[in-house]
Amino acid sequence: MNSLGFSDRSAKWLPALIVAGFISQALLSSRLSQWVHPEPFDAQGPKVDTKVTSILRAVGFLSGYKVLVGHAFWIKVIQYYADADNSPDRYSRLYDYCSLASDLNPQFIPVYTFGAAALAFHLKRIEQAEHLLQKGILSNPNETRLKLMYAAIAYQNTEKFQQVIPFLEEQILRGDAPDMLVNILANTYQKVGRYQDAIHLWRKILKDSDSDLERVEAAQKLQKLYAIVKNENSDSHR
Amino acid sequence: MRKILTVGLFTFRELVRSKMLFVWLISVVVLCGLAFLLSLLSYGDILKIFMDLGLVGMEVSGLLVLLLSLAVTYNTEMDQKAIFLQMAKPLTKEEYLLGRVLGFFAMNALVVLGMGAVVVGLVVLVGGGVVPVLFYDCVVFLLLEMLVLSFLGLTFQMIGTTMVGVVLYSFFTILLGHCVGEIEWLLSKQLAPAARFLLQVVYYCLPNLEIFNLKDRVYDPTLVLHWAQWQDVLLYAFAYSFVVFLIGWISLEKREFK
Amino acid sequence: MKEDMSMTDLPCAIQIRNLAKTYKTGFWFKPKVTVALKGLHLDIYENQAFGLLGLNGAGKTTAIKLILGLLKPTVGQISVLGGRISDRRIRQQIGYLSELPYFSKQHTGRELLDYFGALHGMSGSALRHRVDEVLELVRMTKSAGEKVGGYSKGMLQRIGIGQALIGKPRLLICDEPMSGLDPVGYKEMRDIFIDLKKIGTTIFLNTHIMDEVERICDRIGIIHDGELKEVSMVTDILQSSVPVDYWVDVDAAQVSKLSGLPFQDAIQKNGGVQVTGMVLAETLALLTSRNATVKGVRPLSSLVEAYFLRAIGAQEHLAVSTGGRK
Repeated sequence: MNSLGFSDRSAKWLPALIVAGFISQALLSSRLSQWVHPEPFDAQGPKVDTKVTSILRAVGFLSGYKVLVGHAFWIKVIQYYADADNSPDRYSRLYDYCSLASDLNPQFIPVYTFGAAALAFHLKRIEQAEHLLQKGILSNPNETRLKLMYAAIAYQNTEKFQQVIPFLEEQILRGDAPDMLVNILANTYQKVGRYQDAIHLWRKILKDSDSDLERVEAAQKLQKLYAIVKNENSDSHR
Repeated sequence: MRKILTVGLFTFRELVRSKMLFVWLISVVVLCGLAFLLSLLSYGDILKIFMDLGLVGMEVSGLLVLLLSLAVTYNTEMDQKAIFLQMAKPLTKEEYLLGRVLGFFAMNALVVLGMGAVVVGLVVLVGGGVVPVLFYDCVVFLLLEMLVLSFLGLTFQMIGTTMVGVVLYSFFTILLGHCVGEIEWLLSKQLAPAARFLLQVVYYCLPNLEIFNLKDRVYDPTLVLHWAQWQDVLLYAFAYSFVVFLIGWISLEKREFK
Repeated sequence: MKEDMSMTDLPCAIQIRNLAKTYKTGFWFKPKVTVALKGLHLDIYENQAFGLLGLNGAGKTTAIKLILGLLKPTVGQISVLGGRISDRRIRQQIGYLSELPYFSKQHTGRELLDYFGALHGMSGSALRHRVDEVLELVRMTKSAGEKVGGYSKGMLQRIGIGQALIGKPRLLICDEPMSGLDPVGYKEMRDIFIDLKKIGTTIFLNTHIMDEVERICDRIGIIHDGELKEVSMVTDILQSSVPVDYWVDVDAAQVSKLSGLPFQDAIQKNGGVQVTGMVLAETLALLTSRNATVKGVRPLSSLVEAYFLRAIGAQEHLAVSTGGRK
């Protein structure tokens, strides 16, 4: 008898047991890749062209401590933006740094809100801000702050209202959109001439909103829209 | 079963009295210090920073304790040959190994859960925030990872011939275990057949530690832990630990105590 | 090898047949082979104390480790208490004390004995009672609550023998059990062994201390360069005519009467003469005839030591003094 309590003949099964165990763990390991989202360090987002950030990206992904490296890198991003020496080239790397920080820590919302605000409202790089926010919304679909910021940037700084409308409609259809988002969509409809859609939304706000201020605003907007529609109808009859 | 518990308790007591808990204390101090520093330097979502740091602190302190435990017990058992007297007792090798793993894991779990309590305290009591539900799943996954690594570390003890070797093998296997995703990505590329074969061998031999890594996704709203995932993770932990245990057992059987 | 054949009808505690152990070291293409044990053939009978004598590196510890399964034999078979050492039930009946035992420094003596007792399957009040018994037996009751890290060498040895005895073994195997003990500890350990013999415990011990063997063992084996040279009953050795050297002390003023002794091996030194046992009577007679006052006669080595040295073929036997008399 060996120490397992099996006879010597049965102990010949030991190598088979090891092989079977190895194969089963190998098969399970392959299955498990569906639960893990491997993010090789050069696969996501634009490449950052400094040695330090490349190393950080590699360390973050390789060590399993992406989030910690992300937090450390975020401090670097803030310091980069706060450094007046970077002002002459208008913080050209801000978007790249924010993108890397978001790759490392996709659920850290300040990366998107701070980064997008700086890019859109200070540096006037609207496309980069929108791209950053879209990335954030993809990773954090329930985060309303990102949607609001995206809508605000689109409404304030861009003439591409038509492109913003489908995005806003989708967010509102999810059912958890804040009222401000509905406001922005209604105003956007008005800007592109979809008055009936705008009237429908303002009526909804008038009926459902808990805020007196919003109902007052909705009433005022409806008044203006009715006047616009009436004028249009009378023009067309002529 | 009783003998496994006896060896486990003996090992646990030895580790506790070897001042391993100082690792926990130092980790807490470092964690609080880093959290305070980051809250000053960083911008936004301070509670998330505390949580992320805390989770990293839990894993790092657990790993540190594991490596130190391996070093300390290797010195006692193998170098100083305290194992001789135990092997001459009516104790089977598998009982000895399972008992040792139990002792390592108990020590690890104590440190990890202790750090977890500190993290929850920081986030809830100091920060006034809410602990995400995934945090508790993350802790369980972390404990599973520690269990797999305890088996692995003990097997390295049985195979290794020096304390430094055992610690280094364990450390680099842990590091490489987190790179399994990168190996998968490499395997998806065009490779020479020999390189692909070698890479596949490495891929299947390394422990896939990324499946236990929920630290990055504690705040991920898209993550829902299905029972199927729990099942796969538990089965994998069991299967890998079993294979590693068998290798350790065979190594101990074949080992000559000169 | 000469072997004592008078015990062949007694039950065997340990039966060794053609046991050999070689080590291969170095690179695989140029291995260095070391032969630690060659063709050991030995029977240890129950209810006896057997001492394996040998110089350092003779193969004594290797033999013990092979018996206990700590090493795998290259060739040969070993039967312990009628079975194989890999059988847990056999190990249940064995107590083992290694040379210079090492214990975890973080535990107390009592905790260690609790642990080893639990490994023997004891628990609860039976274990506590047995631990108290063993602590009393090895005179460690007062220090039982202290951590092992603070123990002296002798205390470690006592705890070591304690853990070997905790399971009330049928067979006790000890490797250099007296190392590190002071004279009081040495005597106490010896008394323990003698008491164990009385209750029927089979003892197998390794040593290179002749005095230990003479007082404790019933039978001895001599191992040299991995080979068992001789096996004999201690009583037979003590009754044998193994040549032993003697030192004859004379009065300082009469040293001149020592000159010209006709015996080939007589060596005159300060105040006395060293002669072999064979010519002791003649030497004493000659000195008396010269009116020399003989102050004393003492053997320079024990019979066992002389037997040992003869068995290993040592030439410098005259220079060896017995252990315990230094």
